[in-house]
Amino acid sequence: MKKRVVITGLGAVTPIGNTVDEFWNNAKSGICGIDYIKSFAIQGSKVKLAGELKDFNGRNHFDRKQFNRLDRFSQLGIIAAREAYEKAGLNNVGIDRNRLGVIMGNGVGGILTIVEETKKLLNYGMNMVSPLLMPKSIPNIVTGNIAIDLNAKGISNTVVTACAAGTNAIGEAFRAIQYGDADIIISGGSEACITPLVLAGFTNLNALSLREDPLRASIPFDKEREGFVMGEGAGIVILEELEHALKRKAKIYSEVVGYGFTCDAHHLTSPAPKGEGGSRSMKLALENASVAPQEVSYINAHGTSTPYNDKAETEGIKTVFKGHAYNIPISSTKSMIGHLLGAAGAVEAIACIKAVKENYIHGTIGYSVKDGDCDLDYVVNGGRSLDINYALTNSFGFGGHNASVLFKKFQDKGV
Amino acid sequence: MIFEKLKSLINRIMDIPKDEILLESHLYDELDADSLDISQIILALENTYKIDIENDDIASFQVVEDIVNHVESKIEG
Repeated sequence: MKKRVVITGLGAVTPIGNTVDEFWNNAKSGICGIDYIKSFAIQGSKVKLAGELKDFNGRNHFDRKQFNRLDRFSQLGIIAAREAYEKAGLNNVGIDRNRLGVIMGNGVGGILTIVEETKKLLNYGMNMVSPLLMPKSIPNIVTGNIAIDLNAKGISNTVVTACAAGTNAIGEAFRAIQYGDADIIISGGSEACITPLVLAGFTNLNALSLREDPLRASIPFDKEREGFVMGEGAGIVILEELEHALKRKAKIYSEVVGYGFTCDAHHLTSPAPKGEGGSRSMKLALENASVAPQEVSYINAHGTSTPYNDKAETEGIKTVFKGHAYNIPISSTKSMIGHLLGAAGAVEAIACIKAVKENYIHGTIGYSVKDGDCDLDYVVNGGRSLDINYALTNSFGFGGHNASVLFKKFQDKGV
Repeated sequence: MIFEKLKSLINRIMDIPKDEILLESHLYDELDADSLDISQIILALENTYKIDIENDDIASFQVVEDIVNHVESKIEG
């Protein structure tokens, strides 16, 4: 008998808010967190915009020794994890540390550190490369850092499936608790890679929007969309075995009921025709939960604002949901915060969990030109109140990775 | 001179006030150093004084003065 899994805590650091409440309130208000890049000079860059954090200083969260040992992606992960852990009421509570796990996702690891150390290598030689290079930059170090910070000694893993990583991580955590491997898992994603090297890589791949109007750059499902906008941040959810949560009278945000993931096996960066891989991922998540397509009342789309993704995702949704696809409100958080890559799925899971909890769907902002290929209900005129029982979140990543997680409104009375 | 340099490094890397760093301070028991701290300090000293410090020697350092003496001997050598 599989165990039931619920969400008991949330944490976020995003371009529209450095806490979950600030993020969600701004998402509900349709605030745009995309702006001109401020962390480095953009004169030579074709891309001028990104979703950077606002009023954020990692030094305020760590002492100097800790700070120097943490790449920004680890800092963001820890800060969001601390918030989620506190919101879950886990501070100063006696729990079995060996049954507390961490499963995180990220796309590119500590590339800001790699860039800095590469400069030292090229300018001054091998002797000047910091001993901290490797322990700061390996992609799993955010998981290790969170475990150290919150004394989580149970199962631990890091998922690296590019832009699907945050969703994959939560799905893996869900499954681990279902099968009894942990009581509580701190899970999600973090990413911090807004630096000229990465920006150039994505720009030259023609993956990014070159638009200079912050309100018309990340425009998922709009006919004039031309690419995504890079973002940074972290999202953390606390997944907990239901009986464990009930016993300690934890606040329950929602239940996690389904997880599906697939690979396109088609192309490095382009989705398979008709979003075939994504549609199978969605279908698996529904089957995993024994939920019929017509029961789903909200989809938080991957919705990147690239021409290919939004068309393929729309087709994939139609394949799974058939005629019901036209009845499901679909919104893209990336319209407000850009693409947080390995953290995207985690922050978007939070948008789903909040939607289920509060019966409110945030809108897709910036939309103005209808595309015949994208003809579903993208919630383009502000947010919407709606009774939501099941909400699905999708994430797709380079490498053809597809992941979907299904959340359900929590009711104590059986599945 | 070497002690002053070492104090600056310990202060910067380990976030310990300079006036709390004495020649007799124990690196691990009193200053709470770990292997990452020591690696950073040794690399900085090697680059500053253009010397090589062997791993066996690093493992023998117990108090601040051990490092100062070792660097001095290396420079003189």
